[in-house]
Amino acid sequence: MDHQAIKDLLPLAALDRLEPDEERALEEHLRAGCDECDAELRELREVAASLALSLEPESSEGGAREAMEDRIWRRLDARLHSAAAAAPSRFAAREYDRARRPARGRVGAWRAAAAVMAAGIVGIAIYAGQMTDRLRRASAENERRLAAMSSRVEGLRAEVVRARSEVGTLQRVLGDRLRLENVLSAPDLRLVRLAPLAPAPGAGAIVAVSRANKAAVFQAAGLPAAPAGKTYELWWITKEHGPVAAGLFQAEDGHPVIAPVALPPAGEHVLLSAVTLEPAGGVSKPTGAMYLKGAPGPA
Amino acid sequence: MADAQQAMPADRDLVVAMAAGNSEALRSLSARYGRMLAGLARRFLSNESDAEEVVADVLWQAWREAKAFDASRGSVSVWLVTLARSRAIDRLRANRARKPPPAEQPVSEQVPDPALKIHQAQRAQILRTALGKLDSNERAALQLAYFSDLSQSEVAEKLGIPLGTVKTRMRSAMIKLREALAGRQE
Repeated sequence: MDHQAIKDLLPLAALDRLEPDEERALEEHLRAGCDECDAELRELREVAASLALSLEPESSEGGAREAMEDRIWRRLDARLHSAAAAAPSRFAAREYDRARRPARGRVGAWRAAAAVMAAGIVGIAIYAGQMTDRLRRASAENERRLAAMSSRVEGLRAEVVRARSEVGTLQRVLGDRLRLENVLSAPDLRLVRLAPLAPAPGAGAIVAVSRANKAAVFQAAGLPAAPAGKTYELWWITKEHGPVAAGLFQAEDGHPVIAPVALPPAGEHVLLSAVTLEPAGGVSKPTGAMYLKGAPGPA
Repeated sequence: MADAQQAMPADRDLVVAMAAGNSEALRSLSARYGRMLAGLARRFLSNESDAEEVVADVLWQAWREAKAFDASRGSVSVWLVTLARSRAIDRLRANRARKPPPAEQPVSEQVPDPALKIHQAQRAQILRTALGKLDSNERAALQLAYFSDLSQSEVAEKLGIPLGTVKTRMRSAMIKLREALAGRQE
């Protein structure tokens, strides 16, 4: 950029609103030693800074203004005290500055006493400042601990939710096992053993049926997990109506399955029981591959 | 006003005294510029306590860096205003992911200097008159550029005008303001 182009940038530079490439060009120009632009930029910065003056309300309430100025000074004074506590030598210089103000007239004994009192007051002020700083630090530490504890409580809450979910699952599994045990111990127990077919050669299952207990429970092992959007479905295949849906279940790789299922249709002659893989939600008649199949044993 | 100015130490003298460890000079500078800097900070920050904290940060930085202040690079007021604007923008950005600190209890023990207040009010009046004489479009571009953290492009988008027009208006407004202020200072 030439000199004139840079000059055109100066008002925007004073507003701190240059784009990065413009800023680089200006810096290079000033580094090259253009005193004219340097002086003009300084002048325009004065103009930009003066914009802040235009913000002062013409008629704000005096008490509020003074209170605000006091609050600002109080923040500064607290920092002066903190800095003094951290660097005694600088603080000593400051106190020296206060102490060396010119005395008027001869200092009498009462003035000496007043000076001692003033020194005492300064000492108390220093102590109060240090205590304030300590309290402030203690407060900040407590806030930090509180934040850490709040975070920990949130973590524990999440763990409780997870634990409740696990307990619910375990209760369901336990209920299924108890139901299976009841059926297995029933005097009218009938077992249907299901043998593996090609899709799951390592699988096996039984269906325990007790009409006295009005319950039938299916237990399987070695079935692979059903693919997404699929479910296993158990069938009673009767002489009268062919396949009758008996229940849906999911399997997890390496985990046994226990699931309550429907009793065989009353009064019908069950020829077979089978497990097929079907769309999620089940179907009324089998459509998918058969994984297990077996005939009821003797009554 | 002339009497008031004569009775007051110059800003530069206050900074020199601060460099020597005189905390009363810091207090005088705070009384002189605190309200104006807070007004600037409040344009960026909705929280009054945040604005006052920015002012305290600025004056504290001035206290710590008083020895390094170079009057040949600009006036004390430019130094303070530049620091305040920069810190207010930083805090505005930081506040977007942080909750505001608790408000402090007000105390009142400072006795304001009426002459100083009159002097500042007069200066402010000159500025407002100068701003009032600007074209309204120029004034809008200038104020949006200075009292926000928007880039040139963002200012253009907000005003719904081309980027080149934004630059022209900012430049023109600054030059007119400089001329107006120069005329008033005579």
